[in-house]
Amino acid sequence: MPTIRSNLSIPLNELSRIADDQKEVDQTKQRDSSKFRPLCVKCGVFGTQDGSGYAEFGNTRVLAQIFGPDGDGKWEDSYAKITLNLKGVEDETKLAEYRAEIISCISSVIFVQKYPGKVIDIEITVISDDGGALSTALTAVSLALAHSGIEHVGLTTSAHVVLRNDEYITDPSTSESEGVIGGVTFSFVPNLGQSTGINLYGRVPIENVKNLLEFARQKAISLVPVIHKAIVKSVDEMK
Amino acid sequence: MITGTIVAPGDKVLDRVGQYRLGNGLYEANKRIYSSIAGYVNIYTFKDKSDNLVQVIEVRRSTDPRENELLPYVGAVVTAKVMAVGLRFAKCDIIAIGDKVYKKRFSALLPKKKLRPLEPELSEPFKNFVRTNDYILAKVCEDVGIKDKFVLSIAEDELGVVLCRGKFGEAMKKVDWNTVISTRTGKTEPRKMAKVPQNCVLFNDDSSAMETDA
Repeated sequence: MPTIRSNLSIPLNELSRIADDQKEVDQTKQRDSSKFRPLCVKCGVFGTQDGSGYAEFGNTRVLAQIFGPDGDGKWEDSYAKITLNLKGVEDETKLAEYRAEIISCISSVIFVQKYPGKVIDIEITVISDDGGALSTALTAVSLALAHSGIEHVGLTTSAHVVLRNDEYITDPSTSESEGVIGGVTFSFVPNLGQSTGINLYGRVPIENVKNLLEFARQKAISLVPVIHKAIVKSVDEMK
Repeated sequence: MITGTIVAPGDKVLDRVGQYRLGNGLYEANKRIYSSIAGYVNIYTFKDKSDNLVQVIEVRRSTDPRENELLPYVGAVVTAKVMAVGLRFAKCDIIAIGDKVYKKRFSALLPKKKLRPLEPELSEPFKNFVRTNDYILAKVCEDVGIKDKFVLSIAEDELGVVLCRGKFGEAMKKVDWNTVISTRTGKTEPRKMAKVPQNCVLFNDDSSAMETDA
């Protein structure tokens, strides 16, 4: 009898929905600047894994996997240790920035006190980066957490928005974010209304920051039904 | 909230606790009850000690109770291997819960006072009960002092050594509940053997229990 090791089901037709050579096409002309790029989210990609999630915004694709909670024999504190393994980001400055941001976002969401002396290992693979890798990674981790069954506060949504000449652009690709003043990656837990991470970059004027954050929050809220639906679907399949 | 409703983490399950008691997969924030895992809502009732009906609301991941818990939980009967024996504790590795084998081993401790019921401290040495490389059936129990490791107990007739090997790796045969004999040298050794029930029900609806069919 063959051993079925995983039920990998990344929808390949959706993966190829945006061909790679379309990267340079100015997509803001085609889509509304207040709308997200075409997205695909999946909760539970690998059958044998403890937890896995996949998120795709346009050409940015991120896969997240969770190992654990396991006891490693060394960690003896009264809370769980969260380790992160980030792959696919070549720029070292970006890597350090993303790692710190993701670790702080995840640690604030998981109930670490419920897993004393355990280690939760998170592996994030950025398959392709076309802008907004951080927000996509945070979405993928949220889906993987929901799949793993580790107790946490709630699903996290995140949005990446940039400011260009008094105009806000939601979820821009690399080509679309040319000539921008600055931007923000905003992630928050919608049910408690608490933000878990704000990554502001560029020279955003101080009087614009509030509006930019509010805009990002609205965009993050608009993602909630999509992620919620993906999680509910995965539970339905498991049942 | 209707039983069977599928919830995602962070979904509001109840506006307030009301008559329910909180089970697994739920937490309270801002006086409201939210789900902390993805699954479906389940409500069950049981009678407590003073014969009151208690309604418990919880979120389950699947219909199989073993799939609900990621880690060995208090009251579960597990299979463990004794890795090292000290003066007051034996170090064990939990291998399986019921017939579900974990992907990774969890380290656990077997304290000396949990070897035999109703005896606070034993003067007998550890080797009269378990030795290194024995496989034991044990129950996970709570201990206020030890939080980072699971604490095991074999203080029941059904719990104890199920498989052990002698000095040369040969199989040991059971003579009685406290003695084993080597199949090669004929030497006897003391052990606390488990009276493994013939009809073993590891999981009930709400808690784990062992039933003997003697």
